[in-house]
Amino acid sequence: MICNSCGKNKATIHVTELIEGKMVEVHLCEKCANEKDIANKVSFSLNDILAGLMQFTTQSDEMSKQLKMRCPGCNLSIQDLQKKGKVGCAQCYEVFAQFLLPLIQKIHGSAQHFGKRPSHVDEKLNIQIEIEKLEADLQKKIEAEAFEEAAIVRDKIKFLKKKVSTKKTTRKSKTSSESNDANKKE
Amino acid sequence: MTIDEMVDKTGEWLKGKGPSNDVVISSRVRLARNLAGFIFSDYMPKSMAEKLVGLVKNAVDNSNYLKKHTFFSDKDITLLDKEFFKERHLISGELVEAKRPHAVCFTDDEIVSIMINEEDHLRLQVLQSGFNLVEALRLIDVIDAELENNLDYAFSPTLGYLTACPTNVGTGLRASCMLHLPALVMTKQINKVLQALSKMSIAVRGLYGEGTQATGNFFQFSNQITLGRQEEQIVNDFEKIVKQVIEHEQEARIALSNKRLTKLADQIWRSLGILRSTRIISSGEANSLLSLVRLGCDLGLIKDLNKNKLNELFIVIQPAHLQKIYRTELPVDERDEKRASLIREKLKSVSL
Repeated sequence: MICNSCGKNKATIHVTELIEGKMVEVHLCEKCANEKDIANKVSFSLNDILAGLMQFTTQSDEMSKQLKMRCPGCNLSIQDLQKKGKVGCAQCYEVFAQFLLPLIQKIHGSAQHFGKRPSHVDEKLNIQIEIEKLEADLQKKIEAEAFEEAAIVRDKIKFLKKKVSTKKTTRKSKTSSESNDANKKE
Repeated sequence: MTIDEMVDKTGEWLKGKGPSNDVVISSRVRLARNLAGFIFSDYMPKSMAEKLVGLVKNAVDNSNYLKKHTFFSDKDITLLDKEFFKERHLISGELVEAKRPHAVCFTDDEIVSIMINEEDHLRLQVLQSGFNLVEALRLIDVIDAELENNLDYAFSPTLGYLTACPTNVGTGLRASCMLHLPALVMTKQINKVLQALSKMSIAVRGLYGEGTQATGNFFQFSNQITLGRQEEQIVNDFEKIVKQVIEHEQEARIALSNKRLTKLADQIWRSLGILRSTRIISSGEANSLLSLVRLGCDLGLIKDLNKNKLNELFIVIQPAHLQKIYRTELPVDERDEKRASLIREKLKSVSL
């Protein structure tokens, strides 16, 4: 990726900024980032980010409706969330997903878990995650023009997708408690 | 094990063993876990918090790995006990302050500790002596898997383990290392190093974790990113960065002893001299002087002081430890006196 500012060097610093209420991704080389003092801005605190998001949300009508929302699991409001910087329960991650996902993306540079999973999480979901992981890997291999290795990964994905489609479960559960309920229904 | 029994010994992780123990005091890996169907600790009603403590206790009792453990619920221990645990890095400052029902349990060797109803329902940690994150990760993975047999963790396929703070979501894994960096401080390179680390999503803290200042040239480094990478990768990436810091420190030590040995030796021996003769000393001053003495040991200048004893000194001169050792509550000025006499006693056989 080439630097957005000088258009010459390779961009190594990627910053998401709020400009007039819109999230804009800026890609800069080290030199330009230093000139713009971006590096210092990157170390913002969680509360800053939350506050930033709140400003963003108050600008749209639809969003301001959601400001009044409370989590049915723990009765937390978005204001409580902003004040404390902590969610109230597992369900909050679904209820306030619109607010939390961009925040999580900013903090971690990703919104997809690739780590270990509890063994009780259903096998199909595990395979699904494995496929997503392989797809990301495939993309990298293609970008690196390692086509032979890419072909191997592609075949693995094919195999796993077949495996998933032969299982007849169709649910899309988001939390482990939900998936447990779903298990009971089956 | 009782708290009184703990006073006379130190945790296994303080032994001063393990790789790169000249620079790395200890390595730690912790996992944040919450139980499905329970409101998170901060917002949880009292009865629910009590029930959760019971559930976790049951899971811990059923674990093979945690056979030799002691379980302390908040009702069993005083504020001083908690401060004492904190000084041993078994619990966090947040748990010391916690008002809701909470608990802690740890193995007798103090390698594994589990905080219950801290910011998250469970905070599992494994501490290792020296630079040994891989072993810490291996151990914590075993314990996590064992507990999971009896506990239903809050988990989402997309976001991973769900935590009270979005900064921990995903793996819930924080790897950290306590580093002793006197040469980087003396050669004024430390700020450069810290700046570089902050760009790589590495947090820097003081001796006692979150919200504490660096004293005695001790710095705690930890990873910030917990989501989007596998546990092994998080630990490996972090390890590589810490390794570079270790190498910088080692180079700076060599440079110092090549170019400024006499001046450095003077500082080190003076520090030992003060510690061996002090009558009143604050923990801040003691830490700074002990830091130089530690450097003296690592450089081979001071020969008759073993590292375990020295590591232990850093811990036992803390306020709660002093009060446990002397079995009485001590106001600050009395503590400074007792601290001085304890240090003199422990260092009396070290030749000047």
